[in-house]
Amino acid sequence: MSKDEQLKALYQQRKEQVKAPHSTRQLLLTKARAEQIKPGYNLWNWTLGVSLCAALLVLFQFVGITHQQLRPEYEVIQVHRLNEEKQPGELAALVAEQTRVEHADNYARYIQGQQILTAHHKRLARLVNTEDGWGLQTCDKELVLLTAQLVDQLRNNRRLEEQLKKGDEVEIAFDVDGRIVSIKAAPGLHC
Amino acid sequence: MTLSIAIKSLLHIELSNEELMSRYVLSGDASLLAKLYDNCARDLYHFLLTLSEPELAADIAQKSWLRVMEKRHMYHSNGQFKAWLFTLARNLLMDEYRRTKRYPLLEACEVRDQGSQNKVDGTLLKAFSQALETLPFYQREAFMLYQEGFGVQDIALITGENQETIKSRLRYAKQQLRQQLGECCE
Repeated sequence: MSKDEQLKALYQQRKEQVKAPHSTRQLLLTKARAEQIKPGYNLWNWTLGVSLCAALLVLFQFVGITHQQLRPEYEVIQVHRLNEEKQPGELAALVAEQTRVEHADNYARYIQGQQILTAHHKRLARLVNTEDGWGLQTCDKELVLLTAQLVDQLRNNRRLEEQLKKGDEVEIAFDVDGRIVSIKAAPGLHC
Repeated sequence: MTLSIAIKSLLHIELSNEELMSRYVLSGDASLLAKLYDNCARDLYHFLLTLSEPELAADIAQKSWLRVMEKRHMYHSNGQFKAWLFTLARNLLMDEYRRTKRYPLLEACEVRDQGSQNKVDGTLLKAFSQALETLPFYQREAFMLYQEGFGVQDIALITGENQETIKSRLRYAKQQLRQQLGECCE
């Protein structure tokens, strides 16, 4: 045993010989009991109660969240997969066929769109200037007036030639509904 | 802190002095104070008894515990309860010495008989007790606080001294005790 340990052991032995005064304990407890807060208003009990309620609330919420997370959000599951039984060659043919059908559909839609712009019939006319703007004098001696808006739109779509001037013979193309699709110069043609 | 105390209470796990005091501060429950008294009263009384006469030691011990009751709201839950208790007691003792104009450091060190309660059986224990009582007051105080489990920093805080002074007092106290025990029992 080291010297320090010996001193410590002797100190503890010495302390064990001593007893704290019992009268102090009695006095202290009597005073403490007199001052003790009534159980109904015991702050400790209230704190404990509130803490336990809060803990339970957090626990229930946690359990609820966990349950909700575990519950699936779907009821029917559809599994889509490539038919594994098909051979690679057949699979390629199937894909090619699907692509072809898609292309055919797209092409049909494109043709349909083009037909809208394709001329249904054409008429010859002479370009004249009127007070209201441009006009087209047809072979039937009818005057077709072109609004400035239509002229701009045709020019923007490059369906009206830039170099056209008064007196030029032009060919007017109409669509199915009789709307002007384009105006082109027709120098060799006359009514 | 509160929740851990509540759980320990529910599971009947023994609470530390700090936990008991924290609960006592909140509730004022006399049984908690009784537990604290049972845990620390002997240590405190022995400390005071070694630094003063039995009557004064009992009086200061009682005042210290009453002060624990009165000043419980000033207790910091992060502090060591025993250090707080010993600080209260030490301050009361020093106040008493100042009031009665007795300065322990200047007193002649003499061997005192503690009466029948302190009669020891073994020669070594008797020699130790006598050697302890012949130590200068502040060395005795530092040595006892050290034996009560306080570190140098704690002792410095309890006594209001710097740590180097405490180290010095401890060194001299141990040296003198060893010397006296050596002379006695070799």
